[in-house]
Amino acid sequence: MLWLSIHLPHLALEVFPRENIDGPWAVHGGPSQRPLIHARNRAAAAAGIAPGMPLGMARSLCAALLCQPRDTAAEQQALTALALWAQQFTPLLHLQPPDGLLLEIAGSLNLFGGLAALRQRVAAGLAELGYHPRLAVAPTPYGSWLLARSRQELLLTELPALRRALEQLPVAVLEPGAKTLQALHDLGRRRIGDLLTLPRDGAARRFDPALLRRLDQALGQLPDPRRPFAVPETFASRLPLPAEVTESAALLFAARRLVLELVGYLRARHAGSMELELTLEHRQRPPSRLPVGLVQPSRDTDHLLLLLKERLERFTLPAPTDAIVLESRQLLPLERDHGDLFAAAGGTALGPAALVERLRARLGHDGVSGLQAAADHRPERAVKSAELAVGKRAGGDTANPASPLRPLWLLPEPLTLTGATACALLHEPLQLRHGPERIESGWWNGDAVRDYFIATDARGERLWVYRERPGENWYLHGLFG
Amino acid sequence: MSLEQLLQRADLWRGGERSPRHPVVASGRPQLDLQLGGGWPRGALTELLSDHHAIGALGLLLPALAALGRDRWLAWIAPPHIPYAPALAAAGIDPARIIWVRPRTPEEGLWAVEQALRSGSCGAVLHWPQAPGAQRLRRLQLAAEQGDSLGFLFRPRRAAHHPSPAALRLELYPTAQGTELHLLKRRGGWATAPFTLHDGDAVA
Repeated sequence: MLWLSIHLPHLALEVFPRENIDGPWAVHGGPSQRPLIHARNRAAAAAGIAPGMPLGMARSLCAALLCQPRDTAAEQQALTALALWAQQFTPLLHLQPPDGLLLEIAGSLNLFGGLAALRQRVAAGLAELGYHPRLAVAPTPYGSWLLARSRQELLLTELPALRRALEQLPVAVLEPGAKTLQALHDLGRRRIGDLLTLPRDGAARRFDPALLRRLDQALGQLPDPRRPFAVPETFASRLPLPAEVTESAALLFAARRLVLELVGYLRARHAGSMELELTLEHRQRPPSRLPVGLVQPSRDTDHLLLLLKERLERFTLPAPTDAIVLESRQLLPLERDHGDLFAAAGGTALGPAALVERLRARLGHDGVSGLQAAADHRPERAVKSAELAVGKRAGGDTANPASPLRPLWLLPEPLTLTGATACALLHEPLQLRHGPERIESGWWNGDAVRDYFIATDARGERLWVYRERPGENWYLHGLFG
Repeated sequence: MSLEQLLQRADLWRGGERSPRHPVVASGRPQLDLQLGGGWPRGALTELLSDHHAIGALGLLLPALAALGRDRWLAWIAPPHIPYAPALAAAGIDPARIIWVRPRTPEEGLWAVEQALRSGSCGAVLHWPQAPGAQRLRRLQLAAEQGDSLGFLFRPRRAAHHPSPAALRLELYPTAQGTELHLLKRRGGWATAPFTLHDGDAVA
């Protein structure tokens, strides 16, 4: 077993996307009567603000300080989302709340080209998500975690090397209680190495037995059973926004992180998403939901982002947004990363599915459809819009020379040929050239009989008209293109 | 710039040559192909100018659409009426190859045309624009080149007064003998005198 620990020391800040914050900024926690600075950015640190400082004192040090309460729920959600994302590297991982993840990577080394390459992939991915992690690798989960927590970003594969590295760490990293820590300090035991030189039975009597058990687990002398992270069947991730957003362009920036998480999750599951839903939360109103449908499963970051962009562009924000949620409930297996069933011609190939998805993201689902000839002798039933059959090859020869002559255009509603509108549209008089062709509607639809003619008007336009029987009413039903 | 480089340029017209360099798609009517310089220009815009929807402008395209629809999509963007699937099927066009796009605004329509042309997955893109600006048309022409697609714009005859980057502009009007065609502009050739496609020839 080999463990990669990810420690996120700045998670409390990083759960907020900060594209437009460059001044001093901090997150405060502690009791509401007496808030304390929990974490701060570099600009705030330069102003002398340190974690643990009372908020009032921090404000007096730096009047420009932007401060908001710590969002522990968002931190938990971010950790879970990262666990979903990290599934692409290993199926076995554990959460280390509140700010860490432990990945078992022994089985993944070959796939990712060795330890250094894998570590590099994880680091680059986390940086792309906007995190500043500390990474350490060791043969035990707790050992690697202690290294990462102590900024010892080592890659250790052997237990003796891990032991030597741990011996140098202060005992405080084991998180003994304040009393135990004081007792250890009183004995002059400041490093883990000092603790290890104490006689075992004496130490076990004097100190918290859990402390020694944790140390043995870190050294690999005791098993360290942990509950593996259970992967949910669907993806959902929420991102609170540091300031209310009123422009959809800024929302897209924030959505990028969620899409990257989704893509990592999809990679792990060898799946592609068939639908996305972006939910925009508003302070005073019910949330806005923006669904995006796909024609074929995808886990391409750029493509998914483009769909969200088109969708956001045709949406008018009803109110400022303070958090966004990305969900994907419908997944389908997808082995390759970029898949189209037949390659498009041309240099800027956008597959047919991608094209349809893009058009739909902007024009709405109902704005784009296929066309289908239905086997029905009634003209208005012989055509209908249909779901697009992306990826299917064209069927055989569909021409049927025996069928009677039909117009290329059908009017959605037959037009009465006596009204004023018809006169404006047509250039009368009409000459009947062809017909009649009698078409009876089904008895279940009311027994109408129509006699269809092909007519030309004074300007040579070819029209498809019918006379309804019984009666003498004439209608225009189609145009020959 | 050397002579060879110069000769490679698409915008250079060499007099006296019926430009075999420009790829075309046969129209399916020899008489028309002769006038068009081989067929409908590929990777380019074609404008069909007519004030009527029912005099055969669309019918002229059907054989080419049937061929183009065999391996790529045919996008119909903002058609004026419902494309009647049985008639298309009778002309050899598989209705299942058609993407029927109904934009809500003219701007959305032009956007969709550009996407469809550029995507490379549409053999032909048919559009009935309202009043596209010259700059938009240039973008569409470029998109058609990139996607190696045929863009057909159906516009009113008064559009002939405005210049257009389209590779081919064809005016259609009905006469007693049939549909008369007037070639206003084509790539690698002069405009020609009006000619008539006879009824039996032009009908869909």
